[in-house]
Amino acid sequence: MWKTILRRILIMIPEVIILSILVFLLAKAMPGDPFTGSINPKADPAQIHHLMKINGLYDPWYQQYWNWVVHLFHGNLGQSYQYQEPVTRLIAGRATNTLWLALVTMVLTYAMALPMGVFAGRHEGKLPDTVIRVYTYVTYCIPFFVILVLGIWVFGYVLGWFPTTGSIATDANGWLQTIGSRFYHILLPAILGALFGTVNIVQYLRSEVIDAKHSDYVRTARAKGVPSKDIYRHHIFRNSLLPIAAFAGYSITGLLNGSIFTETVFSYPGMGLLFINSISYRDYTVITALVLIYGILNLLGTLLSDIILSVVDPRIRIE
Amino acid sequence: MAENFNQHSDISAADLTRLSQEAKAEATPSTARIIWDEFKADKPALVALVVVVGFIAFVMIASLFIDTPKMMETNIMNYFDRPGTNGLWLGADSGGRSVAQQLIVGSRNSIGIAIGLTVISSTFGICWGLISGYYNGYVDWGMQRVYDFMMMLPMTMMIIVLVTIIPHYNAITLTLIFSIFYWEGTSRLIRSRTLAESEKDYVAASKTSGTSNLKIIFREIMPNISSLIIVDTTLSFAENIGVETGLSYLGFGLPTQTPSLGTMIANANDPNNITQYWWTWLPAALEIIILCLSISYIGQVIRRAADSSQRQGAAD
Amino acid sequence: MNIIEIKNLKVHYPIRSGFWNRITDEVPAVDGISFNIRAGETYGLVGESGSGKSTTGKSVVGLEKVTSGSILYKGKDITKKENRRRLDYNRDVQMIFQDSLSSLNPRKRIEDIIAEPLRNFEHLSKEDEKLRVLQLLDIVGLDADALYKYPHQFSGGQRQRIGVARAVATHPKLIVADEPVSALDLSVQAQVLNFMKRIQRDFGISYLFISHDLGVVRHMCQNIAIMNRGRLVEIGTRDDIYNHPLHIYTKRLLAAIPETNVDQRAAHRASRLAVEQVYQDEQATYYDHDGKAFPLVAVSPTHSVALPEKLAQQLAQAETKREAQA
Repeated sequence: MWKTILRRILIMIPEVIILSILVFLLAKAMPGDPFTGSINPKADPAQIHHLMKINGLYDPWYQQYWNWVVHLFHGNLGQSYQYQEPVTRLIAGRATNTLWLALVTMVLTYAMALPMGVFAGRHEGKLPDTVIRVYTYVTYCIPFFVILVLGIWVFGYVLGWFPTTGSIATDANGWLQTIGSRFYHILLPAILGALFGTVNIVQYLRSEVIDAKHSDYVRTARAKGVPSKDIYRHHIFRNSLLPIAAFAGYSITGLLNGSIFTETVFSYPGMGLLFINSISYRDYTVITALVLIYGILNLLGTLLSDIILSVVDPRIRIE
Repeated sequence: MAENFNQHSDISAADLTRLSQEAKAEATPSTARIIWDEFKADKPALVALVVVVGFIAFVMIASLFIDTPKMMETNIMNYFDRPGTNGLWLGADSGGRSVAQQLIVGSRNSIGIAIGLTVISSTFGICWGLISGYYNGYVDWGMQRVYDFMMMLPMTMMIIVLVTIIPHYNAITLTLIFSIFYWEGTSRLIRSRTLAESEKDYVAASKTSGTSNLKIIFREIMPNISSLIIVDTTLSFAENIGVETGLSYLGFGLPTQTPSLGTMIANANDPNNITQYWWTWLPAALEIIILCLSISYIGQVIRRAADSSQRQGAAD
Repeated sequence: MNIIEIKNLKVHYPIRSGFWNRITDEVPAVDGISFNIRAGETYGLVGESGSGKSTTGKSVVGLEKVTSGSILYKGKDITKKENRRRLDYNRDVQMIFQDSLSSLNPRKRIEDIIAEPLRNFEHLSKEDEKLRVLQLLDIVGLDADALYKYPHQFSGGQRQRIGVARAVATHPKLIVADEPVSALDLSVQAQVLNFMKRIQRDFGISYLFISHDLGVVRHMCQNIAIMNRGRLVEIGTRDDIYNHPLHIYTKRLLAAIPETNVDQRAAHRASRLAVEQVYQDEQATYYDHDGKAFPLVAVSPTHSVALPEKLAQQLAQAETKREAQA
C-alpha cells in the first residue's frame, strides 16, 4: 500500500508544476496591471513605470516565474496590491473562515446522509424511500447557487432566522459570544451546502444496504436469529463505512468550488469571496496563490480518498 | 468461390426479394420506438417532455420578436413596476426594463449556451472515453494523466480567469471556455463502460473480420453504449444550464447588456431587491428549477427505457 | 501439406508495477510450443482452463500480441501485422468463439453481422452480398427471416450457427474454433458439431479445435495436442492419445472422462485413483524442477511426448508390450 501512495505522490509533482506554470502564465495574460489607477488616480506614468520595474514586471516570463517559485519556497507569496498586505497573511485569515465553513458543511452532510441512506435502503420501495429519493433527485438537479439564493431569501430575509452577511457579528464580545456568533453565521450556508452534498452518499449507502440485504452473509445472520437492528449496525453499515469515508476526500473539490458561490451569496469573508474581489482588482498575486492552493487541496482530497479506497479494496492497489 | 456457395445452398438470386420481404416483416422495433413507448406509458414524463420542448420552442421563437437593445434601454417611468402594472406581466427591474421580456431573451441565451456546451463537451468526452478505454495501454495511461490533471484544476476559478483574459468574448467563446472544463465526467463514465465492452468477443470477432479500429470504436462499441450516452447527455444538459447561469450570476458569464437567467438572479444580490422587488429575480430562479427538474426527469425515463428489465411501456 | 506451422510460440503477459508502470514480471501463458496443422484436417488442442490453449488459438488468428516464435502461413510469419495485412490473412483464417452471445454484437442485425467480413474482404454488390448471406443462413440451417433480427432473439445453438456462418462467409482455409460447443446443451452440441463437420467436407476447411472435453475431441479430431501450463505434453493421432497415452497428465485427463457403464463404475474409480496417485507421487519424473513440461521427444512418427528421452522410450516399450499381451 505504501508503494501505491508513494507512486500517487510522485505523479502529483509534475501535475503541481504544470499547474503552477499554467496559473502563472494565465495571471500574466490578464489585462491591465495592478498599478494603473489603483494607487492614486493622478499617479504619473513615470511613477507607474518605476513601480513596474522594481516589482520585476518587465522581466521575461520564465525569469518572473522562477523568482515567484523561489519566493514560494520561502513561504512568500508576494504582496497583495489591493490590500497592501502580504498574500500569505491575507489568505491565512480567509482560509480559516473557508475551512471552518467546509468542516461544518462536511459534518452536517454526513450527519444527514448516513441515516437517510440506511433508512431509504431498509425501507426500499416504501414511502420513506420514495420521499428520500425525490429529495436526492431534486437537490441533484437544481444548480447550487439557486438553492443558495432561495435559502438566503427564505431563511435569511423573509423569516429572519439567520444572518445574511459576514462571518461574525460586530458587537460580539468575549470568546463565548465570538464562537457562538461565528457558528451562527456559518450555520445557514453550511446547511444549504450539506443539502446539496448528501446526494452521492445517500445513493451509495442506499444501494449498498439493498445489495447487502440480499447477500448470503446477511441471510445467514438473519437465519441465525440476529436482531435486524444488529444486522444493520454490525453487518451492513460497518462494511460500507470506509468507502463512505472516502467520499470526504472527493467532496473537497465540490466544497471548494461551491465556496465561491456560497461566500458570494452570504458575503462571507473566505477564500472564495477574496478570489472574486481580487479578480475585479486584477490583484494577480492573490489570484495565482488562490488558484494554486485550490488545485493542491483538490489533489490532496483525491489522494486521501484513493488511499482510503486502497485500504478497503485491494484490487485498486494493484492498478 | 460463389459457385461453391451456390452448390451447397438451394437459395438462388430468384428468391432474393421474396425472402428479404419476409424477413422485414419479422424485424424488431427500433430503440427510438422503445423510448417513445416508454414515454407514452409514463404520463408525468410526457408532461415533462412537452413542457421542455414546448418551452424551448417558445423562447426561441418569441425572442425573435423582441428587440433586445431597445428592451435593455433604461425606462425611468417603469422603475420597479409591480407585476401587472403598465402592461408588464412580470413587472420591471431597477432600470424599468420588462422582466417578462428579459426572461424570454435570457432563457434563449442560457438554454442556447447550455445546448452548445452539452453538444461540444459530450462529443469530446464520448470520443475521449471511447478511445482511452479501447486502446488499453500507453495511450490510455497518457489520456488518464491528462484527465487527472483536468480534475485537479479548480474549474470555476479557471473559467473566471479565462473569461477575464479574453478581451471581447461572446456567447460562442464563452461556450468554448466552459467546454474545456466539462467533458471529464462524461469521459470517465464512457471509458469505464468501453473498457468492459472491449473485452467482449464481438470486438475480437470484428477484428478478425478485418474491421479497422476506428470503425470498431464508433460503429461496433458506440452503439452498444448508446443508451448510456443518451442518458448522460440528457443529465449533462440539465447540469449545464447551471454552469452558464451560475457564472453569469457571479458576473463572469454573459456581459451585463446580454440578459441571461443568471444575470437576472443576480438582482437578488441587492438586499432591497431580494425582499421588496422579488419579481426581478424569482421568476428566473423558478424557471431554472422547473427546467432542470423536467430535463432530469426525462433523463430518468430514458434510462428506464434503456434498461429493459424496468420498462413500463409495451415492448418486445 | 501443412496450412499452419507454429514454431516455438511464446505469449507472455506482462505484470506492470512500480513507479512508472514498468514491466516487472511476466506470466507465460504460452511457453514455447510447436505444432503443424495439415490442410483439411481437424486438429484438437486440449487442456484444462488456464493451460494457454485459448491464447494459442487467438495467436493463430492474430488477436494476440506474440512475444516470440513464429506462425507460418503460406511461408509468411503472420505474427507480424504487415504480413497479416498483405495476405488478407483473416479472409483465410477465421474464428468461432465460445460465448455465442458475447461474440455477436447485440446492436447489429444478423444480416450485418454475417456480412461484416464480406464487406471488408470481398466488396460484393448489394444484391450479391444479400444473396450470399441468405445462402450462408441456409447452409447453417436458419430461415431467411433471421436476416433483420437481433442476436438476443435466438437460442444458444442458433447463435452459434450464426457465428459459424460468419466464420465461413469468406470461404476460409482454417477456422479456429475456441470451445465452440461447451456452452451448449448436450443435444444441441451434437447438432452443431455435425454441421461443422458437414461444412468442413463441403468447403474443405481445416479446424483448430480447442476444447477441454475429450469426448467431443475424439468425435472431431484426427490429430491432437495436449497442453498443460503453457507447454505441450503430448502430441499424436487420435489412436496414440486415446489408446496409448504416455504422459501422466494425458492419462489423468482420460481417466476423468465419466464412465457411463454402471457395472464398471468401481473399476473405473479404482483406475482413476491409481492414476491420481501416480500423478501426485511422480511429479518430479514427469515435470522438470520448475514444474514445467519437458521438451517433446518422438516415440513414433506420429507420437511425441514431453519426457526425458530415456523415460519416454521405456514407457513406449511398456505400452507396446501391454498391447501385445492384450
